Amino acid sequence: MNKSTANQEDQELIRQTLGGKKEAFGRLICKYQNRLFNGMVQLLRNESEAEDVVQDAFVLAFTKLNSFKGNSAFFTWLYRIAYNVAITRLRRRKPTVPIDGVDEKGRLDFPDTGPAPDERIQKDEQAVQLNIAMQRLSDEHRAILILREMDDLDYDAISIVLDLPVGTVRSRLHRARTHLREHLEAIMNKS
Amino acid sequence: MRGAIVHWWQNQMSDAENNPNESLKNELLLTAYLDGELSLDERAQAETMIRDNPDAASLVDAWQANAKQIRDLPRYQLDDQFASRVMSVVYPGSSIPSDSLNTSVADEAGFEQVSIQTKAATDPNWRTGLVAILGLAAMLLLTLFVFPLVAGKDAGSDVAVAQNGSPANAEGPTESVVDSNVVRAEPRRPGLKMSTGERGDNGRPVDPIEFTNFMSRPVGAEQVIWIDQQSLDSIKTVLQKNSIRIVIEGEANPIQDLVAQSESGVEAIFVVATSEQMKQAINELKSQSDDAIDAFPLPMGSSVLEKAKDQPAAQQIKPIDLTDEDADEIAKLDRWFGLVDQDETRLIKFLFLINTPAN
Repeated sequence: MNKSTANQEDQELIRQTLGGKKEAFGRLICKYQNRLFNGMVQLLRNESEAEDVVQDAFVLAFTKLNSFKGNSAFFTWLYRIAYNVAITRLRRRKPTVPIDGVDEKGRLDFPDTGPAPDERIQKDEQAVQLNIAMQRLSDEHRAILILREMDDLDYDAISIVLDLPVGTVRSRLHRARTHLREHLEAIMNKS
Repeated sequence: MRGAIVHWWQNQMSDAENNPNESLKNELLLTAYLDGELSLDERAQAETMIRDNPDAASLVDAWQANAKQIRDLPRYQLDDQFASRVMSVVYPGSSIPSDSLNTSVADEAGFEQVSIQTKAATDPNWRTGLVAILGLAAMLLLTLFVFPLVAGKDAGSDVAVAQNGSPANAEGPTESVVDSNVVRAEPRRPGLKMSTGERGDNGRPVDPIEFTNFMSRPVGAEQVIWIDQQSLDSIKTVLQKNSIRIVIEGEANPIQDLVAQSESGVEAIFVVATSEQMKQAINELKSQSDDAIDAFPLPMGSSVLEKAKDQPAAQQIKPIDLTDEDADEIAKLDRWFGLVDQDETRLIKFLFLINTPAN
C-alpha cells in the first residue's frame, strides 16, 4: 500500500471515529500499535514503559483527534504525541535508576524471534553491539536514528515529530550517524 | 575500510581548517543523499563526489551498513489484548474484543461487552486514563444536556459557540474549533452580565463576571486539574480565597455518577477562573501538599495548541503534566495560561478532579 492510499485510509478511519464508529479507532490502534511500540522500546529501552507510553499516546490522540487536520500523516502526528510523552518520562528518570531489560553490559533483551542458532548468534552479536552503541547515544540522536532508519520517516515527517526545522533534522542525523559509527568502532575495537 | 574512512575524514578535517563551511556542506550533502532528500542537481553533485572520492563512497557505504543494522534489529510486538485495553479506556463501558478490531471498517458487527482490566486501573498512570475518561464524559454530558438548551438561544447570535468535535460526541462536527469568544465575557450573551471591573486589594477582579444562569451556557472544561490527596474543603478554601467561582459541584455535578463509579474518593467540581487567579491558586495548593497536581488540556482547549504553533519556539506549549519533581512546570503552566489569556477577563473553564485522602 503506498503512502497516499494509507493516508486516505487513515483519514477515513479518523472520520468514522469522529462520527462515533468505535471500531474505526480500534483499527487505527491495531494498525500502528506495534510500529509505535517498537520505536518507543528503542527510545526508552524499557518494554513496560514503552507500553505505557503507547497507551497514553493513543488515549491522548483520541482526545485530540478532532484537532488533527491531516496536514501530516496520522502516524507522524501520533508519533509526535508518543515522542513527547516518552521524552517527558526520560527527563524524569533518575540517573541511578536501572533500566529494565538492559543487562550490566547495556544490552537490551531481545524478543525471542528469528533464525537459530549460528546465524542468530552472529546476528545477535551484531545487534548487541549496535544496541550498546545506540544506548551510548544521546536521547536526541537515538530518537532521530530510530525515526529515520527504523520507521523510515522522511525529513519532513521527522521535523514534525521532533518539532525541528528540516535543516536541523539533516544536521542532527549527520551527527547521530557519526557518533553511532564512532561508538561502534570503539566497541568493536574493545571486543 | 576504516582506514580509508579515517583518511578521508582527516582530509576533510584538514579542508575544514581552511574552509569549515565547505567541509560541513559536503558532509550534509552526503547525509541527505543517503536519505534520498536531494534535488536532482544536488544528487548529481553528491554522486560526482562519491564517484571521484572513494573515501566519500566508503563513508556512505559505512553509514548504509549501520542503517541496515538498525533496520534489522528485532522488532517488538504488543500482546493481542493491547488494543482492547486502550479501547476500554477511550470508550469506557464498551470494550471491544481484539478479534473484532482486525475486521474491516465496514464490518458493522456489534460490540461484545467484555470486562478487561485496564492498565489505567492498576498502574500509577491510571490517573491519565481516568482523567481522559472523565474529561470526555464531562464534555459529552455537558454537550448533550447543556449545549442543546443553549444552541437554540444562540442561533443567529454573533457569539460563537463551541464546536465540540470530541470523538465522544458522535454527532459533533469533525473540526475542533474553540472560538475564544465561547468563554470570554461577552455582554451580548444571554444570561451573562459583565462586572463593573471592580478590583480587590490584591488587584484581581472581585467578580470578573456574573453568571446569572451558568447552566444555560455552552460549558465544557478546557482544562482538567487533577489533585492528589487534598481534601475538598481545603481546595475550596484556596479557590474562594482567590475569588475563583465554583460553578458546579455536588448533586448538580453532571459527572457525579461517573465519578462515583470510577473511583471512590474522587470529587469533581467545575470552576471558572482567570489565568492569574488559577496560577495563584495552584501555587498555593502546591505549597500545602507534596502530592502531585497535574494539568491536562482537553480537546476543547485544542485551539490553544493551534495558537501555540504561531508562538516563538520558546513559548510553544505541549500538554502539561505537573509534578512536584519539576518546579519549572509551573513556568510552563504560566506560559500555557499566557496563551489562553489574551486579556484579563478571559475566563477558563476548569474541571477539578480531586483524589481525596482516605479516611
